[in-house]
Amino acid sequence: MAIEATGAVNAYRAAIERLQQTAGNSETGQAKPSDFSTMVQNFAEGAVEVGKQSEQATAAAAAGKADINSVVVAVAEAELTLNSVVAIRDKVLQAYQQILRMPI
Amino acid sequence: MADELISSLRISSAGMRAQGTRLRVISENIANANSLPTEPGSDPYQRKMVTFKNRLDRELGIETVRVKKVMPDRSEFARRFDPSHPAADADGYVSAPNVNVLIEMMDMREAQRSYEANLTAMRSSRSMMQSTIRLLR
Repeated sequence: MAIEATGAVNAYRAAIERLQQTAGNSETGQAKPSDFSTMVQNFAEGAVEVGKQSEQATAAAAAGKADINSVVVAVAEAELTLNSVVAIRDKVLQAYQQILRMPI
Repeated sequence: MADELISSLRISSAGMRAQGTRLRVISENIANANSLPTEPGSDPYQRKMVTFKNRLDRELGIETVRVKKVMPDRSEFARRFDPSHPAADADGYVSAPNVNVLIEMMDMREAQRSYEANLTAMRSSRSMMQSTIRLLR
């Protein structure tokens, strides 16, 4: 998980380019997703997947099919993954906002 | 996310599960410490014991523990003098389970301590992960 400050700059530039593209000629179709959005999407999808697993474990335990240990592990895993996703998102948004506040 | 710390969470969880099974067997032994036979010649409750085995989780590349087998303790049954009991033999003795409650208590304490050790390992790996994430904030 190498988050570089230049990554946010690149993401910003890519977003501007994409906006210009869609404003200029909308018939070019889907723009290629930038690294930044792909990264965010991957993180979010991973977190959703882990969350689903923990939910399944909880439901199985409620139905009496799983033991409490696996529920605790699944929930802890989901919590840690969500925490890391939120922390990374906050960090990236913070960098992005700092760039936005930059006097030109 | 095949993180090492997540793997250690799973290993500790497997250890806790194995100790849970062990505690169940110990409870069965204690509960049946006085389960005598009902007719002469038949056997009383036979003490059970658990054996552990390590298992390689190929998906994650970790070794977890699991209960291999719950097997009967083959030691001799105790003999109790009770001529009025329906299962008493010609000499007036009844065979009693080979459960020693003191041994079961010791086993129980060991299972408890082992469970706590696994729990501490789990707590420690969880807090290590959380403090690493907190580094981002």
